[in-house]
Amino acid sequence: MDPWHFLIVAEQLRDSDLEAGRRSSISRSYYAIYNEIVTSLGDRQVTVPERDAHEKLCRWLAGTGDEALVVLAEELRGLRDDRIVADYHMRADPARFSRLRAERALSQARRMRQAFVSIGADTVAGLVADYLRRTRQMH
Amino acid sequence: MSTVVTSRQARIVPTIDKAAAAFADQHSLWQDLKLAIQLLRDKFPGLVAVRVDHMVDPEIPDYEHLYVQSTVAGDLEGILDCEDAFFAALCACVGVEKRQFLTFTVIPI
Repeated sequence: MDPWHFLIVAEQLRDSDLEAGRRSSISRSYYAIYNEIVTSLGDRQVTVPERDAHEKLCRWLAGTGDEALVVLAEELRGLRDDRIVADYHMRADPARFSRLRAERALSQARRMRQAFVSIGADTVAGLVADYLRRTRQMH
Repeated sequence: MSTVVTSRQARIVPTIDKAAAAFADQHSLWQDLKLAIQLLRDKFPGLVAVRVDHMVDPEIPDYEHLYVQSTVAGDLEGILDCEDAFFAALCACVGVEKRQFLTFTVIPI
């Protein structure tokens, strides 16, 4: 499956009258960009292990030291927390799950993908592989 | 991108919950948190409020951090441009060993 199809679902849910729909839109936006990067790296033999994969991916991107990837890692961490709140925090203020908030998650995911594509998946995979070699981590 | 901090922005005092304050104490995060909040004031002309919560990750064991949420008024694309500028400045000013304890998001209004 093309992970970016999660963004189509996020777009469909963004305008939902149900808070649950808009929460799910935020969640799908995160998974669209997360899986886009993980899959692209995996296709280039840089496999993010399943255990603590979300945290590891951000750490690896940040560990490259590349300015754009460091920023991308921080944005991804923030969007992941938005997803955690959307998926788990049932008592959170409903105002936090407005249509605009869902749109922000969508736009942010698009911009992150644009940044990732601009750097180039091969380059990112190479930088991450270098980082893993430097830190002697297995992948 | 405006980096002029208005008196209104300068007056914005973050709301920090008890657990977040205790976590900041425990990991000596106050200096970095203060710097990050100043960067939020600098980079977001439409900043309305800042709230800091303690986040316990439900999916990753023993992973706790502070979740900094900024409420920002303005058009969405402009806010996202401000976010890019904020993160670039944050990464230049706050080391990765402290950033691992902080995440940031924006609530647009």
